[in-house]
Amino acid sequence: MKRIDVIIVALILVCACAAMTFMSAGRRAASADEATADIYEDGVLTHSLPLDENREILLSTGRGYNRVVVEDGGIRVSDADCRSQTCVHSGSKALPGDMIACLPHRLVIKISGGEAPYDAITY
Amino acid sequence: MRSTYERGKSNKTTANDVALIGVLLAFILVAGLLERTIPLDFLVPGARLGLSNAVVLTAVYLFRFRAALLLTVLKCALLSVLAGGPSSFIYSLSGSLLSLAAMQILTRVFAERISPVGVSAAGAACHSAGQVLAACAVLENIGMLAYLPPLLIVSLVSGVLVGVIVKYTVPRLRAFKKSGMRQ
Repeated sequence: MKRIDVIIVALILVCACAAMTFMSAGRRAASADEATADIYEDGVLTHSLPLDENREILLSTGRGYNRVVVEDGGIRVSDADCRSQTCVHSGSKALPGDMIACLPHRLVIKISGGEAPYDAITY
Repeated sequence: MRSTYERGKSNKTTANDVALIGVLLAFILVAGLLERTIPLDFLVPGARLGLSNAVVLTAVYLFRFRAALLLTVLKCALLSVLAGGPSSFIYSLSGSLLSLAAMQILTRVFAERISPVGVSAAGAACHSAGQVLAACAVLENIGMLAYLPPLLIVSLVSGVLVGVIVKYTVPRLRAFKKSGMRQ
């Protein structure tokens, strides 16, 4: 390790930690009551599901399907036919600001609270 | 005295070089397939070890930019065909090209004042940034940026480990590369 190595590592660490602290502060301020899961397909909001209502829906985009389950105040993708399975591995999300993304199917599930989790994200 | 991490200055492409580039490409594919079986999704969705980056960084040190660029593009194309599917190509290409650019510039600008560990850490961070930015563009959702900070932390750890690997592979492979020039 040389001096510039240390500077680079420290720079990345400081930036990442600062952004994470900023984001988690915004998350705490948001209210988890009346949280809804907004589902975006191809950047377009297609569903808005209240998290206190259990249900299961099958989302079929032109690229494949994702089975989405709302239960116990959280939302998760229980099954999908994509190769990466990242969305299934993401598990259940319940807090405002949390997200589940399925990149192959261009699907984003974002939880929003009573208020916006953060006004804006800046880096 | 020729220093350990000096980049290759010879313009001649020897048979050894061609063989070495082929072996590196084969190793990239194996590393890329292997790391897909070790998902780090429980840490951050989409996180990977970045082993194939060790090979790309090795190529940056050993060969001219052209060869490293060729390896990077072939890596993304072949891994998409073999494992990722068409949608993974755009994410992996944008991450890999940004990472390659950063590593190429750092090794050229700082030369002896930076070790593979720092270059690799910066490359890993740029790879994450490139992928997240591509995801923002494709999903038309700027909120994807929220994935970047935790991804940076994970990629910092894996980037440093990859840098340590490269620190040991470059001098050994350079010895092999030189052995081809004697003949």
